[in-house]
Amino acid sequence: MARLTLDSLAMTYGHGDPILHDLSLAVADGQLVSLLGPSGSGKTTTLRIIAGLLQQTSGTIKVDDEDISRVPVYKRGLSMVFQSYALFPHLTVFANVAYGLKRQKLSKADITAKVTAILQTTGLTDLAERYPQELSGGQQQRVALARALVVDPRLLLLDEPLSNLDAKLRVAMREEIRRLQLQLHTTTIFVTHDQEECFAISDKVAVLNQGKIEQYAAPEEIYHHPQTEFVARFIGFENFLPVNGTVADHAYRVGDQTVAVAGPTKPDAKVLTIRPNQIQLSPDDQGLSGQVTIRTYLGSAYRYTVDSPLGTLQIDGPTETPVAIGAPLHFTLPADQLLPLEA
Amino acid sequence: MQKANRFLLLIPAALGIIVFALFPLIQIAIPTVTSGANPIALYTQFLQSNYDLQVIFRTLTIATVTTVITVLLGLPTALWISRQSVSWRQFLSVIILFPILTNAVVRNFAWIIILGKNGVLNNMLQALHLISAPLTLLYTNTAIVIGSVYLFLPIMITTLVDSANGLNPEIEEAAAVLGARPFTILREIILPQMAPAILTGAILVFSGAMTAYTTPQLLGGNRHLVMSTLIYQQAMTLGNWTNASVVAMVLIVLSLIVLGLLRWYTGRLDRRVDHA
Repeated sequence: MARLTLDSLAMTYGHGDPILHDLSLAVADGQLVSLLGPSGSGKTTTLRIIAGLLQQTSGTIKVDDEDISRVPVYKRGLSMVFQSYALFPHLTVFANVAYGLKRQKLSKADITAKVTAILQTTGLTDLAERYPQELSGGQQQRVALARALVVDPRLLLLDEPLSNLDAKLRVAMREEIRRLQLQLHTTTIFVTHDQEECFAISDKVAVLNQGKIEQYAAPEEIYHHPQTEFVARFIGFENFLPVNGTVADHAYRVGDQTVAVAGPTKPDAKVLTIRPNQIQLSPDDQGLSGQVTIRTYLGSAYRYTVDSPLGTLQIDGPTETPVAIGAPLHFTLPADQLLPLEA
Repeated sequence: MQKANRFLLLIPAALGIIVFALFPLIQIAIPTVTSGANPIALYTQFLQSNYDLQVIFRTLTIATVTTVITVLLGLPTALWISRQSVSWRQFLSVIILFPILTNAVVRNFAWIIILGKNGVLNNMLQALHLISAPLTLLYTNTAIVIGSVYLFLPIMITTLVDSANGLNPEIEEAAAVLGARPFTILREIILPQMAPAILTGAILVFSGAMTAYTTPQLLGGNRHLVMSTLIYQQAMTLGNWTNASVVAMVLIVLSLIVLGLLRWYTGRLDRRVDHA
């Protein structure tokens, strides 16, 4: 139940390359914000700096108006769920969940009441006397979540909490996390490398690349309007056509071809991008033509790798009419789906 | 595999235990009942003798103090080692084991040189004017404890390092985020997780220190007998094999009682950690 403001965070280990450069981020009260990026992008480092488990080289962290940049981890009043869940193996589920309250020196009666309530909310009541080793992965995950939420934290930090679960459980758990987060109105930072996972539950997504935020926006905005080639690649755009000039205000020059787009052209555009399923197959002798070199079956479609006058393209086609490897493929690039990117 | 076949596989090991462990044990017990004297009287006589009780008490005290000191020294060392880089950790583990690779007699002679009346330690203390006359360090209970700690510390550290290496650092971080200070984390999170290893180490060190012969013989001398040196004296110096067997039996029973208690407690902890 707080705002989080990161201002110009930087992090360097020893004399190595910086892990974070000048990272700033504002998270509104009660929002769930994801840090999305590949491994090494600095997302976990950012989370650990917020938690106080790592000390930033420079920059400030504020919760509401309180500067916690130099506050030791045990005084920050935050909660964190770890990738390995990190349950205390020598304590029962009840004692695990009670641990944070015990450290806050609450009375026994208060602790029992709060723990009982959160175990109820997370559906763990029957497991209260079990030890962590006696629980399934999903149950351990719920205990970790209950332990983090019971202290009523100012911020909830989630470090890839779903990556150790199987696919089906992952979907159920992420909905559970979102349900609890909305119910308790806890400001939450969620670190993940899975774009589907973070789009599903986030209010906003910050895409990280090499210690910098490439784009910070709502999931819909990022999905439809990625601002950089890195973001576009990360969320499933496969085709990047290098632009070497504009043709009037309605088309770009790609190699020796002219590609028309909707809307006015941007003089700074460097690449045009489009998803494989947005390229349309056309009847023979219409549109552009290329030769299929690879065909993979995706279940809902065939994906063709096509050598075309625009370069190598990834194009999805219907499963009803497969095109053989080596055969020609005719396609058009819908003008209103092509997205010009400046970087 | 069929059940009967599985038992067949046990035969070589079972034979080994019977021939090399059980049979000698029975052989030790036999003289105490075939000596002609009333066997119960032999044992009560031993357990009523003040001198012999003193030896028993000394043996138990030295083993207990040695165990406690190796835990107190071993724990911080093991935690420190487990937090070093992998290559440094491997190097340290070899260094730790180094004393075990030297002969026990050689190791104890080193302590004789250090602890003697004109030994390294006394000379140093006198040179620093901390003492005026040399201290009696050699041939005391303290000397036996020092030698035993030196002997068994590598075993304790190795046992604890294995356990400390297996600790998940995220568990300690989870406690820190929930408000635990470093010392609280050590007490409430690290020590309980290492308790089974501490007990295992204690079992190894205690049983070793209870039965060690060379160290108490060389550092304790004849005035500070422990049960193992008493056995030797009875059998080899006095030729009283019956009494030697009585002491041996009492030593075995005492060791089994203490180890049984430690194992019972470990079992309680294991149930907690390994799942019933």
